[in-house]
Amino acid sequence: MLPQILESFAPGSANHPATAGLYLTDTKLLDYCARYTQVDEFPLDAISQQCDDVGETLGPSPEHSAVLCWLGIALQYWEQHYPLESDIANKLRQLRPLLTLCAVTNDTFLIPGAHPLHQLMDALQARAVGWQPQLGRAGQTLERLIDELITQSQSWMNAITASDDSTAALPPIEALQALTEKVLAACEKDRARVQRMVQRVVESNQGRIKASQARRVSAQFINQIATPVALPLTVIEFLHGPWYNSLQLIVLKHGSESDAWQEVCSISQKVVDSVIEETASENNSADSIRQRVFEAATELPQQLKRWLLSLQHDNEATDDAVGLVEMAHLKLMKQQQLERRQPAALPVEAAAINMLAESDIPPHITEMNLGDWFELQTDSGQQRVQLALNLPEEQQLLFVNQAGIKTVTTTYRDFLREYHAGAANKLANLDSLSTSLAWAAGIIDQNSYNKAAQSAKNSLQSEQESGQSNAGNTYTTPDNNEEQQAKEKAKQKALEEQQAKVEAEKKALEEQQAREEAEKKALEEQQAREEAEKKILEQQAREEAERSFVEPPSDSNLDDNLQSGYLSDFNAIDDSFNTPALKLDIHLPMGSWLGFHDSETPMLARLAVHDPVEDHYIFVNREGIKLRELAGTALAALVEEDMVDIIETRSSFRDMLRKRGR
Amino acid sequence: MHNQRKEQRIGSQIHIFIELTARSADALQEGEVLRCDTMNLSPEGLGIIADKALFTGSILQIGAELVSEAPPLFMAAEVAWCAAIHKEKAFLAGLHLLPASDSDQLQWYEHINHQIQKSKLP
Repeated sequence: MLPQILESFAPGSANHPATAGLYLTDTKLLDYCARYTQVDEFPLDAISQQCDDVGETLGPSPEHSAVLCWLGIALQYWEQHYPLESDIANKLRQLRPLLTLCAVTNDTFLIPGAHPLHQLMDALQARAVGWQPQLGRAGQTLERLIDELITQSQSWMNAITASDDSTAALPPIEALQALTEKVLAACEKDRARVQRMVQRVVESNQGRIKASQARRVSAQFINQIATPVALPLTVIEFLHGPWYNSLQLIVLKHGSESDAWQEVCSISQKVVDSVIEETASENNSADSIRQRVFEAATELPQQLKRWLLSLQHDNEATDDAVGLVEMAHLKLMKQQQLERRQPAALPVEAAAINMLAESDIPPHITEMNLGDWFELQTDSGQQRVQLALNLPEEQQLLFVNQAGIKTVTTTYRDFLREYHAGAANKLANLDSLSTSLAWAAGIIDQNSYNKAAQSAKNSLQSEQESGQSNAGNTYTTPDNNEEQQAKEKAKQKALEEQQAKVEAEKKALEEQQAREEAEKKALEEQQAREEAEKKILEQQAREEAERSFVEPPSDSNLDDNLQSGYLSDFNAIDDSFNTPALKLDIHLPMGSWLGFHDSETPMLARLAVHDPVEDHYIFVNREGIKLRELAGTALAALVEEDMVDIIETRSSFRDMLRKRGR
Repeated sequence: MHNQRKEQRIGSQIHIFIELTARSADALQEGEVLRCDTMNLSPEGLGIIADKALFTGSILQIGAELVSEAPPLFMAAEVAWCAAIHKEKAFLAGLHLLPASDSDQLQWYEHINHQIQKSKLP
């Protein structure tokens, strides 16, 4: 970097042993640097002023002058382009003597970003960008840190002025490194503490904004389906009350793009459709309207109960809420009059209104990053604030101050207006001093700076590895840059190839899994087919066997076979294979009462059904609860064995029906 | 449950008598008959709205009053499902008709099929 600085600030000059006597010695220069108290002056001006004040006839060498001039321009650029509040900016000027001292004594200082003081100043500026006097105690940590640095710097300066050998009293690079690490650690600790505060603010605001969004989405949906039609009052009460609350919870929990939301939308529409006032017509008979209500009344309550999240903790309240819809259904099914009206629209929050069209959102909004700092003109004056939350869907921005306290919430539209009015400015805070030093050396854009910084870093690293000590003098040529870029490209290519390989392997694995899945499915289908065929064959065999038992052989041992046909389990169906076919020669009408005493406990049962096709009897109790099932042959056998008494063969219910007809 | 329909349904409203409890075998205890309305009908079953709960799975004798002057059709039905609505102010139920040797199910079947065909006519 030195040749570049010399070329820019002292063109055509170079130190020469023959002219060395014309300039200040290193010791003298260091002494003047240490006595640099007019910190508002830039380094070269301050030292020249001191020389004039004491009648010094000599001045800094061209090389030192170039470095001092370069540093001065960099500091000026730094203060202009990375502005801090004046209190902090003034404090930081107290560090100019230390910076000047290092600039003229350490070649590493000439590589932007390489010297510990560059990193220290970069970190301080990054931390101080949000500092404001009104922060009070919250800003004192930073102030104390800077004060400590100033004290340390002054003690080094005092040591130099007090020493006969000023070069020997220079602060060692290790001490500067240690100081930088201490500052970096302090800044990081402070940043982490504030970040936790910010996180809480963000979460709280995200919750608030999401809740507001949920209210808006739910209200808009209910208004859309309900307001155009006259609905029963109880249904309006349901939709605007517990259902509205539940929809909000569903949006919050699952989102408005979720399947859950789609499902509740569909259910909501069914509720409205089921109670809508319909006039019977040729294509829409009263019967079909009733049928639709009946279907809704049987399906909807369960679905509503499932999604009434707002009342999930309270079954009684859930029943009450669903009861509002059921009451309407009941009245409709009973063809009773329902009081109806068109529901008023639920209030929709205005957040969605006045949003910018996507094409109108300028890049300085879309390219904003969380953590970026801005200076905003607010009602309470200029505020240095950090972007903590950006919600593109809601077009909302939330800014916090350096203490992590919410300061400004605004919309894209309002922010844009302020921006155009000059009341919102971005504050840069990345590698501020290093970038300024590079800029002053002619590296004018961030890209060039990044390249130069990377090259310097690489060359320093390689020199450190090879044990060389003159790292500070190295200037990276564009060729080295190209070489580095080529290396990076090759590395990138290798990485991409590796990713492609992994991707291909993943795809092959997925295809293999799909094949296995298809094979498994085919196998299952095959098994199901075989199972079905087997069942059909078994059924056919059973039927065949039954047919063969229609005329039992005269010499068969009926007793044994009958015995085996008795059921110990009331609900079991007799096995036809074990029972020789007898025919019940008595007609048992439905409703006949039979007494069974083939088991330990006698049982009174009523014939509920005789299936003539299957010759199958079902017996029940008075309430219709199934007690026993028997094949006709088994019942015949029981009758034959006198195990069954036929008590009553009339159905009082049927008699009642017959009388009704007359 | 009631959604898995195999047969077409029509939304006719007819009166139904359901023998909730049968008269005891010794005739000492009277039975209980429930009167209710249908909400839909199919050849194999019917949906009803009733004032009392029906026990799911029970097999009950029912009478379906297709024509007011004629005796109701006598059939056996199994309660497929029953749901209380509006805090048990009413009950909706689905009944599945069972083939029974001396029931009027064939008449029911023909009548409902005829109604369905009629409802399909333009």
